[in-house]
Formats: sequence, C-alpha cells, structure tokens
Amino acid sequence: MMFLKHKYSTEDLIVKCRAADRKAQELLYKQFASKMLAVCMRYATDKMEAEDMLQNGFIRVFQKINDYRGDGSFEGWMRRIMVHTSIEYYRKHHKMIHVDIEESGYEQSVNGLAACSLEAKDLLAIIQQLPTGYRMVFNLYAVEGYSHREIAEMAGITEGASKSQLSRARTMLKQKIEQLEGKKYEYAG
Amino acid sequence: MNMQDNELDDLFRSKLGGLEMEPAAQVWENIQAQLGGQPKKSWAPVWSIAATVLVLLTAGTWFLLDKPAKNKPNQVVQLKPAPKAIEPVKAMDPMDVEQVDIAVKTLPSVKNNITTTNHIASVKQSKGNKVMASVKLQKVKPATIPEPIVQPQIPVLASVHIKPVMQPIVPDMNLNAPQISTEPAIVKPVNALAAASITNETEKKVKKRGIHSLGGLINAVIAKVDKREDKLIEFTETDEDQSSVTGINLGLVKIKKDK
Repeated sequence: MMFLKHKYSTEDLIVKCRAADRKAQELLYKQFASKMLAVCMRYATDKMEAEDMLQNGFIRVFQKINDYRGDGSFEGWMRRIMVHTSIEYYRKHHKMIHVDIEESGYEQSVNGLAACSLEAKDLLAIIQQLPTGYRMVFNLYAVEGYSHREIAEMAGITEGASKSQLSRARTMLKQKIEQLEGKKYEYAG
Repeated sequence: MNMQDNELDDLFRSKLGGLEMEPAAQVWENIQAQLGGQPKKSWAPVWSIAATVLVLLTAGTWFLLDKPAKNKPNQVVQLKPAPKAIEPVKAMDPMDVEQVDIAVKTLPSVKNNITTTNHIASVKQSKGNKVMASVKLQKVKPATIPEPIVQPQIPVLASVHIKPVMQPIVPDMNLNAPQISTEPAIVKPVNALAAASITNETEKKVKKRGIHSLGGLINAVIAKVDKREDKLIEFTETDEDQSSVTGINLGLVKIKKDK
C-alpha cells in the first residue's frame, strides 16, 4: 500500500478516480483522509460525527471528481467539499440552531490575545464546545476565510445572522481560552 | 472588527488549519460500500478446486492406508480392483465364498477351521463392486450355471473336506458366512466359464468415452488411477461450461447420480 502510494502522483490518482478505479479511490482517500478529518472535526461535536461528515464528504468527492478542472489545488477543492458536506450534515440532521438576531448588537471589543500556549487539541476542544451555529460560522469565517455573504448562502442564514453568530462565537471562545490560559491571558488595554 | 478579533481568528486558523487526524478504518469501508459495494469476487472456482483437492487427498489417504490390509500374505484370495485385468482367480471370488458357505453348512466339523468372519467382511468391503456384480449375475441366471462347472469341484473341495451340495444360494447369506482358508490355486480351474462371463459383463460396463470437457479430462485421469466401476469422483462429460459431479465413491461412502 505504501509502495503504491509513492508510485502514483495525486494527478494520476485523480485520473484513475475519474474512471471509478477503486484502488485509486482508496489511495486518494488514504492520502487526504487525515487532513480532511481535521477539517470535519472543527465542524463536529465529536470524532464520530466528524467521521460521518468525512464519509459523506469523500463520497461526494468521488462523485464530483469530474468537476475538478485542475484550477486551484486539489486539496483546497476537497476541503471545500468537506466544509459543504459538514454544513449540509447539520442542515440534514436539524441541528442548525436558530439565529439569535436580537443579540446581534456588535461584539464587545475583544481584547488582544497574548501568545497562546494552547495546543491544537485544546483549541479543537474549545471550538467543539461552541453551539453548532456559532461553531459553523466561526469556522467558515475565521479558518476557511469565507465572507458573511458566502456563509449566509452556504448555511441558509442571513448575513446579519452570520455576523451575529461570529461575534458570539468569538466572545465564547475568548472566555474559554481565558479559563484555560488563566494568567497567561492578558488585557491589551 | 478589530485586531484582536483577527488575532483570535489567526490563532485558530494557524493551529487548526493544518491539523491531521487519523480516521477509523471503518470509514473507508463505509465509503466503499456506499460507492457501490466491494467488487464481488467469485470464490466459486476457488472453492470447487479446494473441494476437489480435499476429496482427492482424503481418498488417496484412504487408499494408501487401506492397501496393506489387502495385500496380507495370508489373504485367501488376492483381490485387485482391476476389472480389465480379471483373472480366473478373481472371478472365483463369489463362487469361492458360496462354495465355502455350502461347505460350512453341510459339514459342521469344518467350522472349526473357520478363520474369521472379519476376513470375509474385508473381502466384501474392499472388493465390493465385483462381488456385488458377480452375485447379481448369479441371481439373474441361476439356471445357467451348468452342473459340470460344479462337478469338477468335488475332488478339489474334497481336499478341504467340503462336499458339494447343490442348493440355492441366497446372496445375503454369503455376506455373513465365515470363510475357510483355501488355496486359491485349488479353486482356480473351476470357474473358467463363470470367469469368462463376468469378464464379458465387465467389458460391457467399461464405457468408451472421449474427452470433451474438463469433467471428461478429470474422469479420464481418475479412471487411470481408480479402476473401480464407481470412480472416486465422476463428472459429467457434456460440452457445457459447467462440469458437475455425478458420482463420488469414497469406499464406504458412495454417491451416484443417475445420468
């Protein structure tokens, strides 16, 4: 398996996957699964849920692989599919929390963070503790880099709701970090 | 939005953006199943080959273990499972048994000389086909056995204290009858006629077959090794793609499908 992995480039695998070559699909999966699982983890509450998303995401990747035209990185294309699949997962499972518009008065000024000593797994745990809608919007905006308009379209919410969710997400995240970091968290001014 | 927000975003993006986590093995299995299932591998050929090998090994072992018993020097009658190579000695087998039976019945004193009942049992088992065939022959044509055939036995059998008694022989009784040690040579000349008739019958049963299929090929190979009428394993010999087993003979276990 490892031997084969080195034998084929990603481009080779993509070509073979277009012909629904099962072996190539498996190799492609093995090449990207761990990265994509990490993406899904940010949208999920636990690993089981993330693996469900990953599963759906890869099925869609193989189904839509003919749509990938080679412009932009394949990993980025795949990552976008994972994100969309994760959002869809929540919409399908009615887990989308309603948007709290009244609370959309703009965020309290968030104080600067000192160098954070938290590890990735701590940050992941924090993000997974967020309410689903907050987590989704924060991920889409802060980590993936989508605009509020794109997020509104993808998640089926309004732009205002997206902004509101992002604001509340940030506030909650900072509180969590403060709790974890204790004294390391400092006010910038 | 201020810098602090960006700082927060950067923190998560930098720490979580490049994260990798190994998914459970189950995930790929599920994906594979959803993509249309694992390509079905047909194990039928593998199983059929494995089954054939197993049957051949079993039978081969059985033959090897069984052979020394047949070739014991004190065996009264040498029984070989070679229909084509029938010699008068072998053809005598059923008659021999019957005559001994007669003798036992008529001369109780001879019973003391009985070797064992096991002996006859082994004759019956190892020689199953031929004994049966011969008995059948007698059943069908009891009247055709000419008296002169039996008559010459008188002096011969006398040497082992057997008086010829002409009485109907019930085949089943032969199976339980004890046997007396007699020299094969003594009885040898007696049954030339019966031997000839048995040989003819056996020849009729030898089927002339061409090899048209895999089944036919296997049949031909097995026929070279297994000289019994019911071969170790028999296949259909049609030209169809699928050869199926029509008969199995493991000695004690016989299965024969009528064609």
